[in-house]
Amino acid sequence: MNCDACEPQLIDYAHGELDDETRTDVARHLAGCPDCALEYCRLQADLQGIVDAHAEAPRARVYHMLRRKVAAAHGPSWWQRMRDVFARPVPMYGAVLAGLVPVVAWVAVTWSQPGGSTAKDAGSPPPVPTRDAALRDYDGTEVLPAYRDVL
Amino acid sequence: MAGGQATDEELLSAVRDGDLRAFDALYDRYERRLFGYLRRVSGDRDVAEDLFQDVFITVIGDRTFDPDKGRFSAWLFTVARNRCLEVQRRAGTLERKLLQLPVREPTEDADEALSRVRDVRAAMDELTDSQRQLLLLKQVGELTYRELADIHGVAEGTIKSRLHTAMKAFRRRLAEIGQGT
Ligand SMILES: [Zn+2]
Repeated sequence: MNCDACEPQLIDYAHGELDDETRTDVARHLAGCPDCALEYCRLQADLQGIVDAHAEAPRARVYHMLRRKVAAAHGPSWWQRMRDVFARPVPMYGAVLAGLVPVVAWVAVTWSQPGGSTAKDAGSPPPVPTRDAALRDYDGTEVLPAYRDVL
Repeated sequence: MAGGQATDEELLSAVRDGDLRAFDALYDRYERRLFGYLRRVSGDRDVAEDLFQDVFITVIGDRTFDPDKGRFSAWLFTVARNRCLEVQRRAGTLERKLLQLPVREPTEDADEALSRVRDVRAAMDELTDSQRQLLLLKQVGELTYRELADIHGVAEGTIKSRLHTAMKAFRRRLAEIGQGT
């Protein structure tokens, strides 16, 4: 391929619209011809200039308005939102904390019981009544032994 | 599904299923290109913003689009082009009248001061309406020759020939502007 044959192909080459054989020929020619390579660079700069001169974003409020409209028309239903909550991955510390809950509950229940009985007590003889137990059985209306009639 | 490697078509499907993160990703991809095209064609920022929303809502809601038969971007810019034409017809104006409106240069926009941008826009202004549309759809919309041919209802070879002519006219004028003529 010579320069005269290459030049008309450059626009299609830049747009990726050439067949494989022609594309390879053009690429080979550009690799060995500084003039055509320079012309190709200029063409690409002009093409990019069109893109750059027209790339422009709308104001931010457009995004928010549009998102609201899309959410209203296609947004997730309540059951999709619930599903998302459950589908959300649980972090490792969350799993550890969840595992600790029954342990903490067991300790709390155990220590709140009178006498603080533990698993070690299981199967052992009934415990000797403690001072607390004596108080629980105390009956204020009962005459104390010291005042009983001894005769 | 949110951005990343997802294709436009996958994102569109996710948006239709209620995934707003997919909408954000799709919006990110086309925000500047689509609005830039609409702004240039309509010549007015407010009109372009209304059209922008209208086009997005349409492509998301209109389920006649078949990803197996074409790319999302081609569909998007086809709808955009048609919307522009509809608005112009509804307003009782000729297509060429609106297309020929100069883009108002907002003074607060620092980017507008770039001489290269000014030169390119000036060179584009001097093309015919159809040449300008063609270059915008090709460069900003990134449509293929085949897609452009489908939109315009002509043969692919015709589009290729028109595009070459438009490109040469644009570059010639851009060079003249650069040389101060
Ligand atoms: Zn050469």
